[in-house]
Amino acid sequence: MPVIFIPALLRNLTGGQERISVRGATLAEALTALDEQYPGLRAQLIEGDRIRPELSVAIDNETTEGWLWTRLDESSEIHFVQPLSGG
Amino acid sequence: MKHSDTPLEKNRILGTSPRSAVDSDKVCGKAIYGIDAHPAGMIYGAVLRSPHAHARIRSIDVSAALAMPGVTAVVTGADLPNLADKIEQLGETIVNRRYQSHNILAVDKALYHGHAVAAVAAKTLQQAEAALAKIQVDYEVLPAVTDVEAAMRPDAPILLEELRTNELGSKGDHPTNIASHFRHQRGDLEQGFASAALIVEREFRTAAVHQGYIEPQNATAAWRSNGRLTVWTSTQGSFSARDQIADILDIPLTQVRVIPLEVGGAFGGKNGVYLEPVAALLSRKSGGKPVRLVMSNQEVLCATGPTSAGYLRVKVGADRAGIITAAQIFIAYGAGAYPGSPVGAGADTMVGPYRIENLLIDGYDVVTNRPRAAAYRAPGGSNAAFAMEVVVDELAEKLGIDPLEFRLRNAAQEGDRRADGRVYARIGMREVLEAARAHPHYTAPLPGPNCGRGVAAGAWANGGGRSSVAAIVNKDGSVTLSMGSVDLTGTRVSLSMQFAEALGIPLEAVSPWVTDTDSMAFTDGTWGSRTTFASGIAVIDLAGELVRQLKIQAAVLWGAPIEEIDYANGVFQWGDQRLTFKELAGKLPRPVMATATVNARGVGPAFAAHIVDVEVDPETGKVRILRYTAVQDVGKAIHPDFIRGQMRGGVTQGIGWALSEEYVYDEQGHLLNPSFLDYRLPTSLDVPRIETVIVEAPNPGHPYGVRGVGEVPIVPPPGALANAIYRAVGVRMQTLPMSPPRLLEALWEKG
Repeated sequence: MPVIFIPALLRNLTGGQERISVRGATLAEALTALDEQYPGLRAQLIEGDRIRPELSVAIDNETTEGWLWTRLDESSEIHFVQPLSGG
Repeated sequence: MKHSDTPLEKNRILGTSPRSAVDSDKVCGKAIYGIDAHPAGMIYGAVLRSPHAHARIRSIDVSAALAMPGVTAVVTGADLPNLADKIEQLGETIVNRRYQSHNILAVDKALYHGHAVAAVAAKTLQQAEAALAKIQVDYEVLPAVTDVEAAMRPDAPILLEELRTNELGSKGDHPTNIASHFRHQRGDLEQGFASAALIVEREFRTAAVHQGYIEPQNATAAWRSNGRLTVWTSTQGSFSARDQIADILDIPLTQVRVIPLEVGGAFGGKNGVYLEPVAALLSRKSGGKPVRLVMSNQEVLCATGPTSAGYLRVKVGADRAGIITAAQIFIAYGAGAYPGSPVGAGADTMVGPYRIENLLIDGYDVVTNRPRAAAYRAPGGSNAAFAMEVVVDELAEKLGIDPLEFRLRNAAQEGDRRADGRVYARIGMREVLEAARAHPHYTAPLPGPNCGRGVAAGAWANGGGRSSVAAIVNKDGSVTLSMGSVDLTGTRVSLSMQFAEALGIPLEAVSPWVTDTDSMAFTDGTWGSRTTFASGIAVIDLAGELVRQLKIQAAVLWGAPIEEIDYANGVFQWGDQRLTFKELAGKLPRPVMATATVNARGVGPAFAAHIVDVEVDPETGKVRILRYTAVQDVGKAIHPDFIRGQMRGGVTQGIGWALSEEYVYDEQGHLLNPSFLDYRLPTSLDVPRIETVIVEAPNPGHPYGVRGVGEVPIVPPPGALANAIYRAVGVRMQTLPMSPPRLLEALWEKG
């Protein structure tokens, strides 16, 4: 199952758990499954139909645009990270 | 990852260092820069700036200015559309378009010394400047705060009354200057420190520094009566500039055409727009006449983004074997007047070279009464790495371990996690450290007393992103290569090399140019060390598409099945029929033109290790650099001379950051050194010949193994110099810059 790495500031909502395995073929499904286990998490991460603009989502180490329809694999790792690019 | 079906088995061009016409145009003064744009009927603009660091604008009376000879228009913040919050990514960080709009022309409040409050257009520059003096601004001066630590205190003057601390979607409940807080946390910090044989904890303060480009910001805008706005400008990203202009003016993208011209230095400082929307508003109010705005160097220093000043606390523990057991970091960066410092990048960079299982980083983005911080070459990286590398050096020394050996024992490698949790693919940190240790510089004797040798490591994540390119085959066998990427550092050459290599044609047959925004699909700016990597993938894909189309044409010529036509080493072949690329180009049944676009994945982070020898004058505190060696993993060196230039340029800027550059403010928030006489950039007298060592650990995410190279060389210099100073005179510097007065004070304290 895909694994969501919970941002440190939201681990109060997961009882301190850092990694949570969820079912889901898309980012939307995975976040819905996460929210069923830990209500309130999804709303902290999403704005409209995408991830909050102040966050980037890395799926399998690749930064994505954060669209909720992004496909996941069974072994996907999902990280919510600070946007980084450069000068 | 499969990128292309073009022949990649042989490097004919990659790894050479050809000269180009682009370079000779710049050297000979023939290149066309922003201020060379001179559309017919052009008039001139000038900007009025706040003399106060923090002031409420009660009113602005422009009537006397409008009555001045030659004046065609005056604009203020009231002329800007009233935007809602809109968060967009820009280069290194995120911006709120509403704040960006208020930054280019103040609305309600001036938030830093030099903040633009009004602008005038007139037939001559002298008339425009004379009219500025007639604008009456009624200010209510407010207390200012320019220091990061002071701005974080509960009783600090508040810059933005509506600002609340954002912690991943949770907003604070009271006004504050702390725009956001993030945390990276993994492992068991308490247990990690408990298992350490030695813990070093230090705090650091670093000054804001400017990108220091030669060419000031400039923009010429013509907003015609048909609604079309054309902007000639010096920018790192023409499409990003177009989007910013359209958003700030609240007009459709299709109304804006940005024409990028040669760039006389940027280093992150030309990701964002400052003058373009103002010139556009002045043009519209002047009946569509083109209006040119050019900043003076004083305006550049006062009002365009320097990088962030910072305050950091670093605590690192290591066991007796020299393995880091835990690290706890507090990092606060000043964002200037509006949120958006590169504090996230700083946090990622400072621990990037190392494997650290138990880690806690708290990062804060803090607004202060300074110009809004902009990206600067590995934004936020140099000052963060300075703090980490000084602490790592002290750990190594106290544990009796060679400093490069200590770093090797903790070096990150494939499979290790970055601060934000992502996993490294193939990286070259170990190879870089080993190459540094093996370099003759590392074991050479030092010349005498008060001399010391320092080392530091550095990391930079690099960027990927969107790139678009196109190619036209001409009947003489040449190919016109069009690119959306602005050329800052040899992009036309490095992309032509990858394109020619993939296509199997001579480099001389490729004629590259940078398009405007009406002539190409979206392309991210030339930032984040992304262009040779991401646009490189695009041109390799483009070569593949061109070959596919040319095979179709050859099939038409020969009456052959397309799938039976081979192409290798510049030759199309079907049975005993044979045509070179050039021959086929001259016989094409119909024109051939191809395009390619990518959103490049597979970014390869860059790593560096630097060695520096210094001599400190104990009487004056002056640091003289005796020798400098920079070692860097570049993935695959496309153009080694350009890479060495990037390495030397990064080191030179890092030396300035380390030893002399800083923004100096008085208590009221006035910038005291807004000129290149008083803001001390390094000169040829300060910088020795910099030796370079190129390490090639191929990036698996690029067909040729390319990694971005431009940013990481600015990361290690402050840490390496601090460590060299310590070994020379025994003081651990914890403040940047390590200028003579500051070092002398430290020497006096040491006694």
